[in-house]
Amino acid sequence: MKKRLAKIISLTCAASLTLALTACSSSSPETPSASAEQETEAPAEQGAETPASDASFPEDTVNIICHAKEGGGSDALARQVAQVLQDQQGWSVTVENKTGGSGSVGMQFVQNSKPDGYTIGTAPVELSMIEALGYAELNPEDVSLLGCGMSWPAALYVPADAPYDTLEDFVNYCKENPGKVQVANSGIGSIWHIGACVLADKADIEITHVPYDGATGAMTALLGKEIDAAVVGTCEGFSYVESGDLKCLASFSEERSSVLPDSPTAAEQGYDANVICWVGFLAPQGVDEASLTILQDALKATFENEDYIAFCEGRGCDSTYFSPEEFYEMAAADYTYYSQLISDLGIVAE
Amino acid sequence: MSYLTAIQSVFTPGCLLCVLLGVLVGMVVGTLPGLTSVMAISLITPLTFKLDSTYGFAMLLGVYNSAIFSGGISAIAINTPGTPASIATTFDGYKISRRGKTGFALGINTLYSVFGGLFSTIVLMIACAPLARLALNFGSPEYFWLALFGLCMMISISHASLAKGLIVGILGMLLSTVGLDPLLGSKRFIGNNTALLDGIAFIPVMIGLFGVGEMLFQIFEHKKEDDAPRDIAELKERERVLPTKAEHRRMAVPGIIGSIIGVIVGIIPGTGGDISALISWDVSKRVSRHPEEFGDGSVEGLATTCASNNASIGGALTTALALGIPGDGNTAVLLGALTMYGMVTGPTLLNNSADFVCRLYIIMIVANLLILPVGLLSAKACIKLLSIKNQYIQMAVLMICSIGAYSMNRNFMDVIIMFIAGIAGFFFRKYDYPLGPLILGLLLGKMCETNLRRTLMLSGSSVKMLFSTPISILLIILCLFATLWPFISDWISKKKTAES
Repeated sequence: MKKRLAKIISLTCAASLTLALTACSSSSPETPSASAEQETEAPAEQGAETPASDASFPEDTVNIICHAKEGGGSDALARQVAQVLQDQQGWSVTVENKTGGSGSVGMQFVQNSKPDGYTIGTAPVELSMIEALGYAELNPEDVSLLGCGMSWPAALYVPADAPYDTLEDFVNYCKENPGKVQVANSGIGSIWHIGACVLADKADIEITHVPYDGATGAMTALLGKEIDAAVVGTCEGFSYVESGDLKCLASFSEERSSVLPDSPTAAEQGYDANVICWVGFLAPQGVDEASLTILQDALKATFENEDYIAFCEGRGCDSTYFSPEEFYEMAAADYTYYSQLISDLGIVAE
Repeated sequence: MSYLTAIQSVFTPGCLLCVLLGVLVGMVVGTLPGLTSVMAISLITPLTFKLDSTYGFAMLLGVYNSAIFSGGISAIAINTPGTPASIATTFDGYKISRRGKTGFALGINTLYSVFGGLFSTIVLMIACAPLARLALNFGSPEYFWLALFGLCMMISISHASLAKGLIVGILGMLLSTVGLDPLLGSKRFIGNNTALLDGIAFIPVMIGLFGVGEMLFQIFEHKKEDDAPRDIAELKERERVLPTKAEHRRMAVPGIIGSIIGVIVGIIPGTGGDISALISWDVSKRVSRHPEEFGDGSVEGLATTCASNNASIGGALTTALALGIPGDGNTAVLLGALTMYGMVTGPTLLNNSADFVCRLYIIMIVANLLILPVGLLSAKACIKLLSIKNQYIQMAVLMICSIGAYSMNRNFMDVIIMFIAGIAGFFFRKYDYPLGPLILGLLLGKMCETNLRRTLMLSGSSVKMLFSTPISILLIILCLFATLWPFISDWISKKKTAES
């Protein structure tokens, strides 16, 4: 009897361990699930048109390190990209979340991992900010950028019954009541906090920044009218404009957002404020040219895949592709501007 | 009429299979400490895009409901909350289990989780839109008072000694200040450790304090006791899973209290099953005829927490569906999945995708009904599993806890944090310091601090805003009541004895 029970428990332990590992989609090739995955994908690989059939990369599972935790938009992006890479390229791809420090934990992990191309990671806009914020010594120069296919601009939202209809009205109101207007953002030092700072900077107005717990917290406060206005992303608020709860006074991009076609850009209204949140992909420096090219091409193909485009559209984001060079240019420009802004405005108190 | 068609489209073999599959996956994930429901749902979400949207959502809701329910399984069996939502389940559930009645405790967990789940689904079906609008009245001052009300519960949770309870409670609040300052962004107590920027990871601490601490305690303070049942009657009692009618009568009121509080707390964005279960436990203790049993194996305490954390699901879905506001990680992934199925989340969802929302309600009911047989069968299996020698269980639990803490973030630092918390938990237990207040402080400290400071920021450092809304006043009265209740009840009982 005892022996049987001992067997039962050891079996259950083994089973639960296997399940645990499966559930975290462990990258270790020994787990039965991972090897099974590879087996089933082998025929697909032969059938699919692999653009880089001459090169041997990747022979193993590619691991995407996501800087944000499960449940957020960046995690969904990483998993969507992994799914498309599996379907389209026939690769075996897993996603791991390494979170903390506004993304610096995950990005530094990739930066310090073996540069063999098997470890890549998400590169959020925070890459251009964390150094100035003092969270980590990391900037776009320190990593190798692979491309970007998801971005969305900041937008200024106010309640539908607010006394201002245009950005100019709002700016004038702020000038009449300096420091009185309270603007919610998604957290101190977050990209939308920077967005509100850029607006104040370009329009030369004095507003009170109130940090909330993420864009959700800011939107909830605005819907509950605890706050006068909020600067968050277009995709985080467009549905409340559709439902008539909020007005969008401006989106901070060069062109009008596809989800807010009736809201003019800040530039249209005479304020040169462009703040874009982007999430791209990065690899550690020193990956060999051939593998790097394969990764970049595969990501480019992913960003042009219709499932991926549908994913971005569903979330209200822009799926415009930025090549590695364009991506670097954008990240470097943001890095210069935001570093200046963060230190000028003293956004982070020490 | 749309409900009829919704029932038709849900009650197909494929859809039911998807719910069942989700329930089974959720059970594995929920039972294993460290693997959270958010993790499971976000892993499965991309896979469901290949399915029909109803099938996909059937699977996701199955996982969600079942993971919250089965977090209670490990809370009862090994004193380790499977998910934060079942912290309060350890208070009574594990005590009942230690008396050899594991199956019974698991039976209660199953029945009352399903009760809470169904209750909240019905509320969701009836009053989704209006309730969600009410949630918007919950601003920074209200969050502050709610957090403070939660912290007041330290008094009732530290039943042995108030002083000891407050000591660990304040320790918990102090630990919650580690990390970035929520309003200024400056670093607090971090040193050069980037991993601490977001504060001390909650789940490894929770697993360590409860699971590892308890196992270490059993290993080092092991008393040779004969665990074998003494007679046939006791053996039968040990194999019993379903409560008797009389027991149901005792648990009915706490079950309903738990469900109502679960729904309310679930609706408020940013608060979920963990807080609702703790509050329900506290409230049920106050209204119970046997408050002394709470924390010492009370069936009422167990039933109310089980009902409450599952009821919070319906509450969280209310704000998620009616306003597009995700109250927690689970609903955030679910909303993300909805957008992938081509729906626009936000206030327009209820009208534009009315058919789908109907199907979603039906899926919620089906998922809860499926938990019933699965949960009861697993309770039977669990009794067998736990009847092996304690040493095997202790080893297995330590191993599962380590894996769980590691898998949170694939970070070995978390395992170290877990073991430090485990050693602390061991000493707390040895010297009879209650764990509840510590967890409360850690869970609510930052919420309390952030919202108080934000309120003062919004009001220009005037305290008037804190007392300006009816909800605030109500919460203040609750806080006062919670703090003064021990004195009041003392006074009443003294008066009674004086009279007699």
